[in-house]
Amino acid sequence: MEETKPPSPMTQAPLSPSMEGQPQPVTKPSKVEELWDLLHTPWVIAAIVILGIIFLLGIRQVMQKPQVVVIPTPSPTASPTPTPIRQLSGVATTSAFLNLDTTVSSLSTSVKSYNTSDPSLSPPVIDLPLGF
Amino acid sequence: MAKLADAQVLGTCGETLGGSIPLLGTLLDPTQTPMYDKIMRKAFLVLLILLFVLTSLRSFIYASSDTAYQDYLYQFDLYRQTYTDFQVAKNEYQKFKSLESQTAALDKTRIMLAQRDQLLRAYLLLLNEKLNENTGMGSSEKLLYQTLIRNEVAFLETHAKLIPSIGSLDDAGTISKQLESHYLILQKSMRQTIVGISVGKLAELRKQFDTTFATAQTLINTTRGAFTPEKQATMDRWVLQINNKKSLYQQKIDSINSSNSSWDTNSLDEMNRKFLGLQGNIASAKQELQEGSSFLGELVNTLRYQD
Repeated sequence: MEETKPPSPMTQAPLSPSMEGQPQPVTKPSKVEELWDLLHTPWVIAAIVILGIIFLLGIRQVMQKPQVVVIPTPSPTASPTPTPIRQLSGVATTSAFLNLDTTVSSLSTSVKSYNTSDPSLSPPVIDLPLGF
Repeated sequence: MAKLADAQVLGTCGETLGGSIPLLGTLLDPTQTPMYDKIMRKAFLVLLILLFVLTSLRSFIYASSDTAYQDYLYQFDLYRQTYTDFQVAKNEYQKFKSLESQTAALDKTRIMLAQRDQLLRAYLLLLNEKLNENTGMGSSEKLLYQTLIRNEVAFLETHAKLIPSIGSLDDAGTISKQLESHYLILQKSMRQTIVGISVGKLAELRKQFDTTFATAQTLINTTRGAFTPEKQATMDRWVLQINNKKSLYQQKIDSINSSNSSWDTNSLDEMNRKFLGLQGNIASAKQELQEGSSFLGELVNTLRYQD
């Protein structure tokens, strides 16, 4: 049987394809240039100025001393809660009721003012044995 | 005309008042008849006398216990003074044992013993005046306490009569011991009367309370229909509360009366303890009455408003 030989490697460099007659690629600008161009737009400049002003105002606010906030003390009013108006009954205006009201007030005063241990009635304390 | 009227009145006054009010004639109308003058004069005099009597009576009623109290204070001051003199004389006698110091001590002892009886008598008379002024006490109770006081006053008067006959310090000791042996009974009578007076005063307030409560109940019954059922129920609850207070008060008064009727004590300290306890019960009964009158006020307020 006849042995097959492996193909020998190429010793010449492959030929580069010919570029003639084909369109050339356009060279793109670098990213720095793009950013520079972008910075020159008026909107960005306005935004930067506004941000700068805000930043400066913020620094100024921080540098200022904190102001003491005075909490106003609530002052009591003359009548904080209004008294509910109650409707008088028909009996309240009768003479019998008015007499009763007076009598009850008089009774309460009499009972309160009564002193059960009258100091004028305390018995005298005397020394009895003569001691001779 | 005016002179004639004056002369007439002066003549009349000569009989009755000795011309003490000559102005009266000029005050009366001279054109009126003599009969009219006479009637007017008599009416004026009657009014004057009535006014004088009423004023005197009023001052007598209100001042009797005050006068007795002032007299008691005066007698107490005298007793303190005589007791101090007695102690000085006694110390001098015990120090020197001389006849002169003995005579002085005997004199001072006699004066002090007499003043001691006088002081106790003045105090009993003060209690008697307080009893007379007490309108809440029943007549039988008042009579009972007045009898107690009368007995004690009689004892003191008998005892005071013995004092001038004291001839020696031994006699003075014997006479003094008569009061000492009776002193517990005397103090018991005093304390019983004081408790009786306090209960009588409470009874007076209770009468006033009952009258007011009865008036309130009558008013509720007559005007009941004018209120809502809820309002009526509230009023009924107050009435129930007041009745409860009344029964609590009565229980306490019954307990005080029962305790005051029997003073089985053998010493003054024990008696004082019991007396303080009774005074506490009287204060407690008064508290019930005070709460009852407060509930009565609430009942009146319930009646006052519609809602």
